[in-house]
Amino acid sequence: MGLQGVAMTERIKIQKIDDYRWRIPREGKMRVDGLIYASEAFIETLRGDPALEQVANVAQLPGIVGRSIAMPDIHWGYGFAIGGVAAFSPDGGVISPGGVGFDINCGVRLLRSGLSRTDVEGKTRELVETLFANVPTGVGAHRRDFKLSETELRRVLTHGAGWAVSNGYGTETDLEHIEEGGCLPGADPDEVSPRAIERGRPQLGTLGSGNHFGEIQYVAEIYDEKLAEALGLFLGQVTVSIHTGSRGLGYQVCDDFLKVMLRASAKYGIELPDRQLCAAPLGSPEGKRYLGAMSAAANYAFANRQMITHWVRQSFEQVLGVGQGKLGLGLVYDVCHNIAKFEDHQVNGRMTKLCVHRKGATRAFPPHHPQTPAAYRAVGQPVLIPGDMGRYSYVLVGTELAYQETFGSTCHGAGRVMSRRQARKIAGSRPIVREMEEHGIIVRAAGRATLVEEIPEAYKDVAEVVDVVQGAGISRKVAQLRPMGVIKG
Amino acid sequence: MLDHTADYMVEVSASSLSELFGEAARALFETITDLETVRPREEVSLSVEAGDMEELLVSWLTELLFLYENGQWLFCRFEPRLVDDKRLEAKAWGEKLDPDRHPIDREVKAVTYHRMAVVREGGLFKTTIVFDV
Repeated sequence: MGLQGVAMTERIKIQKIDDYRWRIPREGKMRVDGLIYASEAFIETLRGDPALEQVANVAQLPGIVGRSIAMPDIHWGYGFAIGGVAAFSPDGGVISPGGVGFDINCGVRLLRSGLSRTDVEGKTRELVETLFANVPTGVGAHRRDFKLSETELRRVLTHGAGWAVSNGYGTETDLEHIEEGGCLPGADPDEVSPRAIERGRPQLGTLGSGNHFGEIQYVAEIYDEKLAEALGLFLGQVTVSIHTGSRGLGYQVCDDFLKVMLRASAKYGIELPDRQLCAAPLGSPEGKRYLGAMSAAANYAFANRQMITHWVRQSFEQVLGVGQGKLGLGLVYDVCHNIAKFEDHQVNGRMTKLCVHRKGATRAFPPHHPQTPAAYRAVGQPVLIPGDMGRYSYVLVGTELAYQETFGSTCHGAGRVMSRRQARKIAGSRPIVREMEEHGIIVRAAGRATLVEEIPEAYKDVAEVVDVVQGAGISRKVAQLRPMGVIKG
Repeated sequence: MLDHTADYMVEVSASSLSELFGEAARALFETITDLETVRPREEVSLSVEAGDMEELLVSWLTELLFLYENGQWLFCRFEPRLVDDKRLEAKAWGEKLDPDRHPIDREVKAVTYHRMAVVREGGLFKTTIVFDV
């Protein structure tokens, strides 16, 4: 089976368009071309990778518009490649849970403080320990002082981050700085199964495990003063990033609807190159039901990140003994990187509503777009790209070219180069916590295996990923953030 | 065997289909914890139905994953019995999670259908399973 996969992949043709763009020409059952954003070096490592086959598979789905797109952090996923973007026409197009992923609305948010690195010097360890105590991290962790009734959970599913704010977690201003205002319209809690509700109840306000994290960082480099100023960022400033999603509730929604979509694919005669790509027409009852459930799960994720934000702010107050005024810790932005949404895009010169799937890709809307928050209208929507835990993360903004070429999308992270197994093989016995400490990074993790599998070398250098999207013109670099302290599941 | 980059891919094989379900379940709990530390102290009965063999396998593993996540169950021994290719009756033995004794290696978010195909090769039934971690 493995060998067969390789043989198939080698048949995928790649043509160079320019230094940052590569085409997989339409062939066989593909309905559109594939378009990969990558450097020459990335393309070399991708040859023979099943991820390319996945880009071609997505190009076979009915109603796909433009091209099946892959970002430079593309890697082998299930169904869609991770780092994939595909837009579908409401007229004949489909929606696929495999194009969103299990972790619906997994995303990143960035908080900017009024503090400089020197203000927290010597206190990083205490901050990390306090965050670890206040933000439930790892399998089964939850806050003893927070319980959620089913009725209340249904409100979360309908109102998203707005629910959290009206319950005392954060401020109205936060909501203006979240993609879609922290709430997808059209969420239908009735489409969320009792089991998903059961899994979701104890997990709201928890970080989870795997590649999810909370990170205390500082602004290490600024690439564009004007953009940085507009985003409220300055050199040496302390920031906090939160990376998590919809937890068990989202995984269960995906799981429930994969079954529905497998039947729907047969019912509507959608040919599937991979079962994980199962889909239903956007206008079908199955498609609408999934959209309702997925939007509900997305809202859960928005609320989740909002609650964690509140506990991050409390942790900083607790340790530094200063109030919110000095702390700041205002929200720069919150982006989704596993989502499907209806958005307005240009198709053949006409504004058209499309269902854009982003699986491991980030929205990157240009300056002056109505969905770009008022505070950033002149510079474009902030884009948050986390790297591995040992190196750095980036803040970018969206561009007009992204809007024209990629349905307003860009990359989402570093992308793994090493499997979890390989990482364990090379780092299984290494003292990761001490290694990180030697680099000035305090790490607190719930599980050791997670930490070993998340070693920096297991990821691409995110700087190279970001250089591709900047070189291609689909994003602009604003600042680089370096980690000081990390909590992980 | 290709090593899946983002997630966790396992290949399981067994001499009968029922055993294949047991092997797949062991692979799931091996991904989560060190199976050596789990004792077969209590018995749980399960029944799973699905549209076909592959879906049945995903449903079975997903059911076990749910018992782990919401009931803190870790299982180490399985006795699955295929009634037909759409229904499975099974017993599983294990115990509740004890953080002092059971190292939790990683969270399995879900069981995917990616590349899953139960095939017969020689005298063995085989499949690949990709866990989303």
